[in-house]
Parts: sequence; structure tokens; C-alpha cells
Amino acid sequence: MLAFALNPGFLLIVAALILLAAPRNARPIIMGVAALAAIWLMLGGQFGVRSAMAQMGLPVVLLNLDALNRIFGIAMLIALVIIAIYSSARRNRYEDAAIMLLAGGAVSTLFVGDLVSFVAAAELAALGAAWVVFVSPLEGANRAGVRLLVWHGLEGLLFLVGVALHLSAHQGNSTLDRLDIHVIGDAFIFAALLVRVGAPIAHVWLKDAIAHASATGAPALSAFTTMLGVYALARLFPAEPLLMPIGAAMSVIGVAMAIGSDDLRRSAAYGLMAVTGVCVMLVGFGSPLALAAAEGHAFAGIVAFVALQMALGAVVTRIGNAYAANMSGLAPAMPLSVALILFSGLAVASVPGAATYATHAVALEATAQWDLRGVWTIIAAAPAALFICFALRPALTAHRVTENARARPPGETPFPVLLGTAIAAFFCFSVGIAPGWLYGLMPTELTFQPFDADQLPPHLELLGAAGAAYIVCWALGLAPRERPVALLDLDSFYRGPVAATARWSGVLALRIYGAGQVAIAATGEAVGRGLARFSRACDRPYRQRFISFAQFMMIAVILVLFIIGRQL
Amino acid sequence: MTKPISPSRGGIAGMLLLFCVAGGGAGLAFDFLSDSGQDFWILQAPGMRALIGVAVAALLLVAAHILRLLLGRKVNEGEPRAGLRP
Repeated sequence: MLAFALNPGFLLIVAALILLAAPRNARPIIMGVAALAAIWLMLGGQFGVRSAMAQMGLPVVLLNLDALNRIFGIAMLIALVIIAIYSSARRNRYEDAAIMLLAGGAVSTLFVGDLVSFVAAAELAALGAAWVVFVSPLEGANRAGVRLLVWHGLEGLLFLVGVALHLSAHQGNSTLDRLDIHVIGDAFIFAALLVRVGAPIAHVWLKDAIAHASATGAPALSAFTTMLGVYALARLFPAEPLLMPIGAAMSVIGVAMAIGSDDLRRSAAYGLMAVTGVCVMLVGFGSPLALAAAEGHAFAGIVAFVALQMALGAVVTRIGNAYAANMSGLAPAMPLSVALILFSGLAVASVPGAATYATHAVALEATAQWDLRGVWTIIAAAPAALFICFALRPALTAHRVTENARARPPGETPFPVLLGTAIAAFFCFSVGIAPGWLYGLMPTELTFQPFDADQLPPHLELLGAAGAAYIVCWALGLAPRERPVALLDLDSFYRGPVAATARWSGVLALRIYGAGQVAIAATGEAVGRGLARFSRACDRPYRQRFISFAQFMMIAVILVLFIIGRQL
Repeated sequence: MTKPISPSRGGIAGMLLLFCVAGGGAGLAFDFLSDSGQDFWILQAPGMRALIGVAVAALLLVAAHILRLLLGRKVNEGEPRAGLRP
């Protein structure tokens, strides 16, 4: 096969520029063709460094293909093809370009082979992500975009400091290789990657951005942001024990916030955080099987969450939001969309037959081999929580017919929206039913049977028991009633009390500054008046004895100083 | 005086419950039948996944109530939230 040594992500960046000038009907085609061409470039290339040069004494490796970046690249590019189909229902050239820039930056980051290019491409993806939020037509999107930019600015700063220290410590060696968290520069890079994966405290940017992105922007943000961080951690910090508690905290916080949130897109963002946490835990564990499971689970998670965000985006397109409180009785009006939400939710929840199930089984096996009880329990329990949050809860809510819901006129979202979502869900299940293809993509050779008797029955048992318990509680009225409620997170703290304190501090500082200015002006005026009085008095030395004495003394001092100066 | 119409659940709850009970029951039965006895800890033993599932459901419900109680802020009609501009 003919192969070019070109980073596939660069093709997407060029396509982003073309999209700005392309007519509406051509834009989805350009997006899809660019993504397919990038897949062709990637699969046609041979493993190893293919494009390298030197700039300012530093090696710049623009293309370094291997099994690790190939599996992430395939997932992201497939997601981009599906997003291209999905996006053809609406007209916003800036959003199309923003999504392509985000995808181009993310895919470029996967395939570069040196730290400087890695940081540059990752920050380009961050700018693309912020642009995706800025162009959203949703209420509050501009402010959410600024907040996202602040988080990514912090990440970029950490990256820059880390890379600078790393380069100075390693005599300019910038190859993308395993880093050591105990070295200060590498620790900065590690901190930057924690921001990117949405580790606790830094997790707020993800749900904020996704909740304010458009129906098309949210799947793009799900696919090209946090999972890029998982790739980078697998590349730079495999088997780093600190990642295990961080990943565990992400999973627990993610599912807890997902069930409490009224906005289902925000809830799905928390779900993505939980799945990313599982991947981070597996990267932290670091055995070959665990790393393979992390990469496979990231692959499956990318497509599954793209499908879920697309399905929820269909509701946003129709009724303006995806709040559970507003979704009562949606099923009769939008049966296909609700069915797609259910299927996507099942795909996210690792139901047997879904791609996430195939990789989840590998993850359980990897942790069981090394007797990691805590990690095993969290990974085993996560699908039950996701099943309740993203399959049962939306389905039960959408089928709950109330008086208000009866007035809702029937009407589905445009066909491309449904088609894109259906393709994403179909892809999840087709890969899950025959997972050999996915296992073949993993860097570790894997002969694993996820439908064996020791894998499938316990998983069915888990989901069945969790689902039955939840439905019974829901029927008994023990589940929280769906009502318009905004769940406060850590960002509410810094956007609320901390921001108010900062505002008041600013006002106080301005007042103090103003008072200082007035005091200086008054003092200056008084001193000026005094000097003027003094100079007037000097003009008339005969009026006051003291002034004439002072004048005499001043002249005497000047004369003495002059004489001393001459003598020296 | 007319009786207020109680909210209908569209029958989906019963169907989902049936699927869950059937899947869970089959899984439980096969789990006991195919037990190899090589479990690395107690939660891997046959039947324990069902326990994990029920515990997760209960914990999620408790978490949802507690989170909404502590962190939930009621949104009034017309208050701006993330949604399409009117």
C-alpha cells in the first residue's frame, strides 16, 4: 500500500481551515472524507519513527506510529466519521471547523514522538475544545468557554514548566518515553495530564464544557479530551501507583454525581469521568494485561459515550435541553430517540454484547490476576452504577406520562442525527459481539473469551440484580423525584464564594488605592503650598527674621559644599 | 368532582424489571453451576455479584438523596441554565 509519512492529525487541521470557506452541503462530506483519509494514512503507515527533523537543537518527531497510538487513533477517527454524519443536520461552519481543529489537535498529539510537539498539539486540541464551547448556541456557553480556557491555560502552563525542566535535566532529550514522577519536571507534566483526564478537583471543566456545548459539540468533547489524557498517561506514566487511588476517586465521584444530576448530558459527562477513572486505575496498575485493558476500555468508552451524547443531543435539538425533569413523557413524542438513548446507555453500561463489556472483562481479569481487591471491586461495580444512571433512569423517566407531557407534540429529530447515533450504537454492539478485532488492535497479544462461563453469568447477575433493585425502589417511590435542580460541584465554590471574595477584595483594593491617590494629591498640594509660601518669603527676606536666617544658612551650606567639593 | 389522573408509567417499568430478573436469575444460576472454586476473595464467590449489584443500587439511591439534599439548588422557572436560548 502506498504510504505517506504524514501525521494523520495534520490532515484534519488542514480540513478545519477548508471548512471555514466550504458551502454547507459540502462540510459534512469534507469532515468524513478527511477522517477516512486520516484512517488510511494511519493504517497504511509502518510502525516506528517516520518523520523526524531538528529545530533549535531539539529533535522534532512529527510521526511515530505504534500499537498504542494506533488503537486510540482508530477510535477517535471513527468517532469523527460518525460526528460528521451527525453534524449534517445543522448549519454552523465555525462549529464544524472547531470540531475538526479539536480532532486534528487530538489525533496529532497521538502520533507525534517528542515532548515539545506533544505539548503543542495537545494545546491546539485544548484551543479547539474551547472554540467548540464558544460557538455553542446554548445559554451561558461563552462563560463556560472562558472557564474551559482557564483550565486548559493552567494545563498548558504546567506542561511548559514541566517540559522546560525536563529538557534542562536531560540535556535536550525530548523523546516521548516513560517519565519519573519523582523528578520535578516530570511531576509538572504529570499534573498537567491529571488536569486533562479530569482527575478530582480538575474534573469540573469536563461537565461544565459538555453541558454547555451544542448537541454536536458534546460528542466531540467526549471523544477527544479526557481519553487523550489516558493515552498520554499510558505512554508517559505506565505503572505509576499514584494513578490507582486517583482513578478510583474519579470512578466513585463520577457515578455519585451522575445519579444526582438533573441534566442528563452533565450526568453523562460524570459517567465519562467514571469510565476514564477505570482506565486511569488500569494504567496505574501497569501490567501488560492491565495496560491492554485500559487501552481497549478507552477505545470502547470513546465510541459508547459519543453514542450516548449524540442520543441526548437529539433531545436537546428537539426540546432545547436534556433535563430529566423535562423528559417525562418524551417516549411517545420521540420513540426513536428514546430507544437510542436506551441502547447507548446499555453500551456505556458494559451490557454483554457491547464493546465496553469485552474490555471490562479483560480489566477484571487483569486485576484478579494480581489480587487487587479494591480496584477489582470498583471495576466490577461500575457497570451496575452506569446501567442505572444511563439506561434505566432515562428510560423510566421518558416513559413516565404526565399531564404536561401529553401536550407535547410528536416529532423526531432530523434524520442525520438519528442516523449518526444509530451508527455509533451499532458500532458499539458490533465490536462487542465479535471482540476479536478489538483484541487484535491491542499492543499486547490477547486470546480472551469474554463470553466464557466464568465471565458472562456473574456480569449478568450483577446487572440484573442492580436493575431489579433500582426498578423496585423507583416503583415504591424511593428514588429521588425528577425535578429541576442544579447540583453544586467544586466549581460552584470557586465561582461562588471564592469569586465573591475576590470581587470584594478587588473593590476594597480599589477603594484603598483611590484613598491613597487622594491622600497623595492632598499631601502634594500641601507641600506645594508650603514651598510656594517659602519661596515667596525668600523673595522678601526683610519681612521675617526667620526666613532671612534660613536663607542665609542655605547660602552658607551651599558655599561650604562648593568649597569642600573643590578641595576634594 | 373528577378524580385526578395518576401518572402512567407506560408499562416500561414492568418490562425492564422482567428483563432484569430474567437476566439476573439466569446469571445467578449459571454462576453457581460453573463455580470453579478458585476465587481470590469473597466478592468473587458465586452469588456475590448479585449482592454487589443490590448494594450499588442502594448506595446510588442514598447518594442521590444526600447529594440533592446537600448540594442541590432548586432552579426557578425562567432562571438561565444550559439550554437553547429562547
